[in-house]
Amino acid sequence: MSDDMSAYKEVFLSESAEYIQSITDGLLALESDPFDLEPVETVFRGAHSLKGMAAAMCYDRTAELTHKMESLMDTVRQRLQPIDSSLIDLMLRAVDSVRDLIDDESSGGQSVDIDDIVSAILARAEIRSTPEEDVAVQEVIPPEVAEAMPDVGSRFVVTITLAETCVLKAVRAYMAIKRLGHMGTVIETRPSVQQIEDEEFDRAFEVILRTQEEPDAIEKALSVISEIEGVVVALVEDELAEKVMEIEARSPKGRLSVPKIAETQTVRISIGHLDNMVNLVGELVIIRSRFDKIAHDLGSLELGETLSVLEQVSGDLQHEVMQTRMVPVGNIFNRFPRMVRDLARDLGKDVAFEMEGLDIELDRTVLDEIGDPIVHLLRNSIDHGIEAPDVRESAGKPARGTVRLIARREREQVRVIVTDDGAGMDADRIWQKAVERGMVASADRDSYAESDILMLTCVPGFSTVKEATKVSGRGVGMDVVKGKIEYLGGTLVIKSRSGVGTEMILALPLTLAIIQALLVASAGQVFAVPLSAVSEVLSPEEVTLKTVDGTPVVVLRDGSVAPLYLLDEVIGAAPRSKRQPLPGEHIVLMEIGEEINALAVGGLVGRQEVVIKPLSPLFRGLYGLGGATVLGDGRVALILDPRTLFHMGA
Amino acid sequence: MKNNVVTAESRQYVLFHLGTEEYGLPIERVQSIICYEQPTPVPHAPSGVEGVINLRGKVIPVIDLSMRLLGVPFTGASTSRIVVAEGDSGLVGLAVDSASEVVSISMSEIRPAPEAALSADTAEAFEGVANYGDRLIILLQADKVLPRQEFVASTVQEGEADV
Repeated sequence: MSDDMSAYKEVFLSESAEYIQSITDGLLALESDPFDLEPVETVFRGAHSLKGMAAAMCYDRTAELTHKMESLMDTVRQRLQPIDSSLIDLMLRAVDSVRDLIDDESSGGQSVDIDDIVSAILARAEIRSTPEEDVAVQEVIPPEVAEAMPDVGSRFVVTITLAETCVLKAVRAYMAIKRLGHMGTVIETRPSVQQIEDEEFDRAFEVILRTQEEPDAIEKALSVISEIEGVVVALVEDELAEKVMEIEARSPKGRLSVPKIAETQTVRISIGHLDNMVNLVGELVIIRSRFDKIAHDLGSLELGETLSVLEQVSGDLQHEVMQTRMVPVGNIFNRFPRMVRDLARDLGKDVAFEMEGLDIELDRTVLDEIGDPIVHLLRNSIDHGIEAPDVRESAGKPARGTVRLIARREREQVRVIVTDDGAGMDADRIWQKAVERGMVASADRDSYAESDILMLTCVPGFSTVKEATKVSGRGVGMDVVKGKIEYLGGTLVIKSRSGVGTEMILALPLTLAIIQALLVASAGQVFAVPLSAVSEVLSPEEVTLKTVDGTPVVVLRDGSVAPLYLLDEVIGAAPRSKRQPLPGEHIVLMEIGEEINALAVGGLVGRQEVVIKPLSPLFRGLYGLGGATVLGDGRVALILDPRTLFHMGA
Repeated sequence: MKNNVVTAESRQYVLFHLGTEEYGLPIERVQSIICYEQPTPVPHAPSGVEGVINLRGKVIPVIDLSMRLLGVPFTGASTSRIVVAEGDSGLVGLAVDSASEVVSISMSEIRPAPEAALSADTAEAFEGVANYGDRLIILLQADKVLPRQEFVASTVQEGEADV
């Protein structure tokens, strides 16, 4: 029993979060274009659905507040209310209260008081509201509320009959429902959308539609879809109308859910199951590579061929399983517009916020972790980057600053970029500060490139803000951001031009579980190097080897110099010798961020997809290791971490 | 837990050999016993950690108990085993010379280990000693003998220093 309730609660919590998001999005859209009535509908519907769901869960205060919000939006819908920023503010405040309330009520609390916000909404609604709504306001139970909802047009039952020859019935039906959705509100279908989608109907199905259009127009709209044999449009009689309202009130999603057939095909799965699946598929990949080795040792052609098929299948399976963990970045980005808006307002900045690449997908585990770092970068941009409007104007820039958040897929990485056209970072001031803090010696200035100086902001304890502001000075600094990104196997690059703007680039791995690796050997031991970090593999004869101050370096084609490390010395299997690599050894160029290092290894074993296994917490303090993996022969190979390998002991 | 131990008449121990000594570890702490395989060394790992092995797809550390208890590095032989035990930070393997028996030891047989025979460093690892037939079994405190993070953390510093 209690399990059932908690299952409902989970569904409620996740769905209500979606509605809160869509209401917020709608309000922000409305603010940017007060004449667009579609967001009004979205907000109204969202509040309505929340109300129904909350009432079903017996969250009375949530139901009451959302009901008031719905009533207020209803007056907006009927154009009895002006859409201005005070309305948006009030509604956003109400959204915040709803969020708090749901937290409160779902955990059995009584602490959140809604009287203030409710009376504020009532006061606002009364500006031009009609008497009927005052009556409706008393009611929370869904059916009565439906009565309070004003008619927009009339209700029709549209009976659609498909041609006998129609092969893809579900597709035609979907097109018809979608087209009707554009004309008004699809209230219900018979059979259900799910059944229609599964083609569980003969040739005919019914759509109950509320629209302001005339029957003729409905028929005409459907006639353009091929393979529809007949359309009958009938006005719904009173008795039927009541039933329709009942259904409409009962359905928690209303119109939102109906036209999107594809959406009904998703299921919610706990992340625990997905993690298990990833682990099991990982096992499969390991076992497969063990078979490969056996087949190779036996020299059996037949086994080899069978295995290559298995490889194909298990590869596909692995890809599919990994896909289930991929989530569009939009899932976390969507809360940023509201945050940016509030922040800009609090700070007296005029900021246009643009987002790009919301459909780019990242592994859930990565995505969950990057929310806070991005929040921090956005705050930095608005607080320290974008100047006050008058300052901008006198600098010849548009008064309104622009902050952009961009996600972009690049090979095996996703880049998340935060840019602003603000004041940029002042390298001299950063240097000054670093000297004051004793982080660098004043005389070393010449040996630091501009980009190195910018990265000093990521050293723990650094802060260029003279006084910690309410916004950015919370003790979470760039060092935390950089640490988090590196923990995830990513890199942070800062680019900035004083007076022009700043660009923060986070490069993140697509997934944390399986990577392409180059297997190298040294001192009889095999190590895996993430291929994403390897830019080139060369033999000692192919490169120019030099020494700088006695330490070997590799001179690259473009003339730049990369320090050379010997793997057996890095891992402590041989004493530091500053020797040059021997013929027969290989030089692996590894690129992390903008830094290139050369690693000399005894031998190359191959290139392989490896499943990352975490190392025991006992090894947490060790540098240079990113985890372990199991090779085809069942032995463990350690995965080198290119980011810390060369900084061991630093 | 403590109460159980006191009131229970006897308790089961997994016995294993290290050098000339015979040790017992409470059976609840032991997940399995596998044949010894040479672990993959972990660069700069603290002394006392032999490396890591693949235990049915999991990568677990192997602790050199011989080093920890006797101060002599472990050398593997054909009879060597790895006792897989539940530690504070997940599964760990304990490299031992041999392991085969599970015995019940009556609580009344357990006596404190003679203090003079203990070095201060490892004293806390011992629960006591027990006579089992004509054998003397050294009983280990699972919580204390299995490495905790602090134990490694203190040695890591040295590991880093020479890098």
